[in-house]
Amino acid sequence: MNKHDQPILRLRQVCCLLLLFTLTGCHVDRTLDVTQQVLQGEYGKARTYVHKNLSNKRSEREYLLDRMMMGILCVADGHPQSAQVTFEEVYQVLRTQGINADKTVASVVFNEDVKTWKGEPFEQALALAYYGIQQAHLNQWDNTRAAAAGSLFQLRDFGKNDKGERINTLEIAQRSIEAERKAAGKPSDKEEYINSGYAVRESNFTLGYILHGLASAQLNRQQEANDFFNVAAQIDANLKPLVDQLKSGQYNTILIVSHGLGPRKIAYGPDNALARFEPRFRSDASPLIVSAAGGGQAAYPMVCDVNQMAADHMWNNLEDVREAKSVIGNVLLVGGGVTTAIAMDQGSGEAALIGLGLMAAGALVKTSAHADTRYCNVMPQRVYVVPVMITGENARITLTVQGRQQSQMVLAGLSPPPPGHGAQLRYVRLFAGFPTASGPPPGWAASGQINYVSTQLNNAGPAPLPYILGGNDVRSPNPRVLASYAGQPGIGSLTPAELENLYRDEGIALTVEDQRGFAGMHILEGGNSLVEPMVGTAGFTRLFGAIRPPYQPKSPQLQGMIKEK
Amino acid sequence: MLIRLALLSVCLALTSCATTGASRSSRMTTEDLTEMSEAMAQSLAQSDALRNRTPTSEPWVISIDRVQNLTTDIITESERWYVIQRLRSSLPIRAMSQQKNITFVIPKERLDAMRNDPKIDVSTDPNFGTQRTPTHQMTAKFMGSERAIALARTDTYYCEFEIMNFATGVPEWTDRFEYKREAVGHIWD
Repeated sequence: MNKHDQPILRLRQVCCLLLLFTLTGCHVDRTLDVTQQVLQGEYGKARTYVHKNLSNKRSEREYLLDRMMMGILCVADGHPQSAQVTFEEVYQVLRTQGINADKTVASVVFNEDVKTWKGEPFEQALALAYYGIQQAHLNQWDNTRAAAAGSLFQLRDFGKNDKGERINTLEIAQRSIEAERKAAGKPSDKEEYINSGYAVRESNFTLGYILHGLASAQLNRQQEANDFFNVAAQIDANLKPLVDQLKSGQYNTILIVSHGLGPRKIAYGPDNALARFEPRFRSDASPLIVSAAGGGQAAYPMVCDVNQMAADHMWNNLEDVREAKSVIGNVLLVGGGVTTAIAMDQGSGEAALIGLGLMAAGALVKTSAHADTRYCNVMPQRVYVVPVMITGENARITLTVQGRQQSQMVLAGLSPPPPGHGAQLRYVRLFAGFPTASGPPPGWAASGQINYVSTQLNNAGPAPLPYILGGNDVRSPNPRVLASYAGQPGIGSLTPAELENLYRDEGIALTVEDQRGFAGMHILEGGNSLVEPMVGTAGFTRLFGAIRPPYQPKSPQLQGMIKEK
Repeated sequence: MLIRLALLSVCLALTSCATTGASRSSRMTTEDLTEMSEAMAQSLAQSDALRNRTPTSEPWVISIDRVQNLTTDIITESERWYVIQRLRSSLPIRAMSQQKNITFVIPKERLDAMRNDPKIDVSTDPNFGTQRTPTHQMTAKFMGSERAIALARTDTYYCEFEIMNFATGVPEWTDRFEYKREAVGHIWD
């Protein structure tokens, strides 16, 4: 080798090392803000943040991840309509099967991210359950039934270990490697164990069975409903009293109540090639205490513990159990490093380049060997199902996870469903706070007050005034609403079109359709939408249960009107 | 050597992109819904129930109800209305208005939704919807069965249509349309 070539080789080496560091670097956790918002119960901010940053490339993991998050957050915020398109897109992906099966070679040799991500099976089942819950809000019980049926897909069961415990993913990886060694590294026999060493099992997703039962009952298929309820009680005997109540049909309102944050996905094991889910909110058997004003108190058992689901290999997709790649990566790195060092000593430029090439290839494999720890981080830790019989208008229902005072939420404004409507369903995501913090719940959650006039409720006082004019009325303008402003200076003389224009000049959207299917943040929380969350949800409780700062007018028209007043 | 590695990479990438051509979803498609609604329109037009009707026959006012979904596949609201819309706008059905004195009207739930829609003020029109007075009801029900094993799934869909006479409670016409969708691969993968 010419001495003048040595700096060039060093430069190449530095470039290669920089490339290696880049390849082994971590990706940004862009969902951190969302988690914080969810902990505070700020589902409006969280869902609009996700909506704004929605990935539109189907090949990216975020495509499904973002949509799962957005769907869940919209339902939590009481905006099921805004979740419609999102859930349709999620469903389209989840109902496509075997989409990763053809990419095994690419995922093993190059990069796992080329796969189309469908999430862990437990995330898939929960996403389908959420779709069912969203459809039930819209009284589409037949679709709830279909979504619940979809969530009950069969699972892979690799059984127990020698100690009689459920086998974990590390043990599956070890058994897989043993099987590969026995197969003498023949490519066709790779991952033989993962693809065939399991028994197919019926699902144990109790929430799915109960949702199916609820939907069947609403479609007057009581026998079918009872069958699904019974399966849930067979899987978890604690659910027997709940199932008996559901079978009796003595309810007109179903509350699906969730609390906490589901587990986080972390990498572990050699080269962090494996992934597992670690609880953020601890699991326990605390029931949900439900009390109604003037009524009794009842305790309801937990129907779904997401920590438990995520910890069971049956609910994992096992993509991390390809630890062999990491081993290959180590071998290549060592081999490449040795080749380069020898080449440098012997002055062989070609051998050094080959060595660097091998190192780069090894690093590529190592990069993909590091388990991908992206996950749907807004899943709840637990879910309860509460059947309630609401008999009067404006019922007040208090929900508290036993022993977690911070979780308390008082729902106000619920009324019986209209005649001939069947049961109504509401999803209530309780305030999570922080896992280890104690203390009272936030004021809005426990106030039980409705401080603003709502489109959904008949709660206007004698002389209501729109919030944008300094009052507390946030109803959508229409002739009936305008009639209630009669006699009031300024606004009382407006025509319906003029009132609508007043809102539009402020940049306030009046309907979901005006906002292309997604309701933005409400004006009560500083947004530009007049679309309210559904009564009986955490979103409605947050918005209407607190006293909000006065509206700040933007348009000269409104500023002029306020001045005249 | 590097060129060989690059070629190998391209080969592997191409292999990974190859698909078997097998279907990956057993969902109903828009084509299924189109074909089904057109077949039903044809069947109704040629049915015994309508054969002897003329422009001077007693008028039939048929309310088309929302499609009920009893399959294990989600059918969105827009897909349901698409089925009804296709059916209503098909040539044989449109021709019935004059040739058979048959009118199709919106279902009651749609009317109620309009009455409760704050954007549509019908309070000043006491006659809104009163001329609807259906004499018959058309229902459409999607049913299905699913057969799944570890590596494949087959969904069979049946769509059953019925026109029932409100006065007598007797079905004037029923027919069903059936199709099958298959998909291969693990549902979780």
